[in-house]
Amino acid sequence: MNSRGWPWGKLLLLAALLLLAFATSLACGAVDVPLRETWRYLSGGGGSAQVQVILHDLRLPKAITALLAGAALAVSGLQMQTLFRNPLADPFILGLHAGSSLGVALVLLGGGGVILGAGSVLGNLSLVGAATLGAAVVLLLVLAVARRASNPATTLIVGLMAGHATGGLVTVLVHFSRLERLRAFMTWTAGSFGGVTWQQLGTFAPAVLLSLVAVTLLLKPLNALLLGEGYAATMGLRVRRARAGIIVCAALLAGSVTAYCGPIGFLGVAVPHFCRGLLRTADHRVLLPACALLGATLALLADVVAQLPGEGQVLPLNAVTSLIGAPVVTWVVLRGMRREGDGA
Amino acid sequence: MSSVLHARGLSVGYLPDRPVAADLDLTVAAGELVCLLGPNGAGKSTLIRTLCGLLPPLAGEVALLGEELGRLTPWQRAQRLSVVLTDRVSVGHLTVEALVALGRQPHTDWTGRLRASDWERIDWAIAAVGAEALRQRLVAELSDGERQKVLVARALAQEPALIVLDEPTAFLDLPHRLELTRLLRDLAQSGGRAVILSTHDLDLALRAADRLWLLRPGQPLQAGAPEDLVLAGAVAATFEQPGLLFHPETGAFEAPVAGRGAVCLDGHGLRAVWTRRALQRAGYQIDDAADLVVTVCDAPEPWQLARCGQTIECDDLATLVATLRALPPG
Repeated sequence: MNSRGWPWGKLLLLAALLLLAFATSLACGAVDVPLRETWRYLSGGGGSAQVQVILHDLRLPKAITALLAGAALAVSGLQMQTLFRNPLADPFILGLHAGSSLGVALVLLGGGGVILGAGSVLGNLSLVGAATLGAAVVLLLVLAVARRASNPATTLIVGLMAGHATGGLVTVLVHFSRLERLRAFMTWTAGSFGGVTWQQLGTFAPAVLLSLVAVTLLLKPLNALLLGEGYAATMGLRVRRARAGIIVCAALLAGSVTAYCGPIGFLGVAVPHFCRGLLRTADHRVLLPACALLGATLALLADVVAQLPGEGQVLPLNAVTSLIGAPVVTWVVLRGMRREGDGA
Repeated sequence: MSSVLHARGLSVGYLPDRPVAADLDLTVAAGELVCLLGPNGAGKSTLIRTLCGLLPPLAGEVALLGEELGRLTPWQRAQRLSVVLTDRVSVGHLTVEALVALGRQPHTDWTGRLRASDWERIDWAIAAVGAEALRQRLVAELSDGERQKVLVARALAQEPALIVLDEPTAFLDLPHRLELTRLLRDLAQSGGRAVILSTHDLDLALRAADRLWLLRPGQPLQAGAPEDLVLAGAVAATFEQPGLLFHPETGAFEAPVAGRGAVCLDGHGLRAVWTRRALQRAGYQIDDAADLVVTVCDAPEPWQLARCGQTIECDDLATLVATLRALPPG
């Protein structure tokens, strides 16, 4: 599936961009920290106490979260676009975010938060737990269908319908909620990389990294699936097993991000298209590292843009990713019309 | 010749109590090109999908190189059999070379890494279908004919003993249909491979196939050399429909036009052959005893149309047909 050459140059360029974005993200914020200070801190050289606090407690965990989340969403989207052979598929097409938001809504709006202690550290943890649980329930449902269905479109419809049903429940909860609780829920749906502590990173980072490693085992099946499940089966692929593996990996990636950062849109659908266009390939062995690098970069940059208003004011992250993502998706659709192709 | 594929008592379909085709006995030998023919709804695609292992048989068994298809692992099956489906292949940023390279999947390790020997087979497969010039083109930008050729190359790169193609000529124009059929026949004969293809194209199947499988709804499958099946009347029976007539002489079906009368055709050579077709198209039978006489002279002389001593000259066949249609009957 690969060409004879490996696009090292472009991948190195993406890696360099990621480093740049990471450094920018550490340097920018309510208080400007010069890059030199940032570098001294990172290389273990210390620095002023204020810089230590800002970087260590706030910006570093946030930047690492953004990096992991961006990579996870992009790779998850890549898998979904190939599996469903749909250029507009994204990590949330399986309805996971709806499951998560129902879990979170139940905690924040449905009174579950009172029991678990809203506002405390425990409350924050319970949000993650509720989001994970909600996503897991939807995932199990989708997976049960995917293992039996002869056609991936069936899985897609079940995912979408599960999404609509849980979305309906969330709407009911929102309708009967008090204003201050609603605000907490709206903050969660806006998405943020900022709320993740070092302790939470201890769970979030391994979850994302292990899932990314697992995806490397799926690169050959993903390439076979480019031609559709019929061809993949005649090329020796155990299609249902591969389908289940891809769904589990994509769901773990997108689900962990949603649990810790909220439902962050558009990175998952837009980054794979950027990467295919940039590297001019459909080979997942190239696209996986490219999507991880570019996804991480764009997530960091989106977070930097979200800080732009300054003075402690932050734009909702989802607004930023949507403003970047919407033009990209539009471009993809228009280009697809021109070519009369409908592939990813 | 050794048998590549052998099916006994095979029933195919999607629902156990409603087989689309039942009790099929089939054999394909190495080096053979088999055409599966039948009207729409006879179960061609269902049979093809069963032979590929994409659909389990309802009854009976299929053996590939002596081993039962159901017992082979997907990898083993893919190393013996490759397929060109009717599924639309439309993938952005996929080059022809990368598409053909996908055919090596059954032969590579879990990473899909291609070794030098794999590249040799890929190069060979691309050359075998004459697609060298398309190598770096994007699959999404190919014409239908080019895409089918490249998909055959992908099937070849899989190094199978049997290639199965579902309606490979369906969207191709006549020259590309002939080209693809010739390619498939050469691939069968030269490499000791077997090729099975399903098609609607009777003329092409009669000319190219070593063996025909005729499938009709509710009837046992008939297999044999195309010529034997024509002589036995099996081809005519398969496509039988009111208003449709099979000409065993030409091997083609015709929908006869309502009779306008008889014409005596006088002449020989190519001009006479096509004049005969023009007259038949206009609804005339050729009868030497007819009063109406069409004389075909050598080019560039015009055609002459004579009745009751009156002669009309026509510069081309279009005028001749128009003049005939304008004549009062009798």
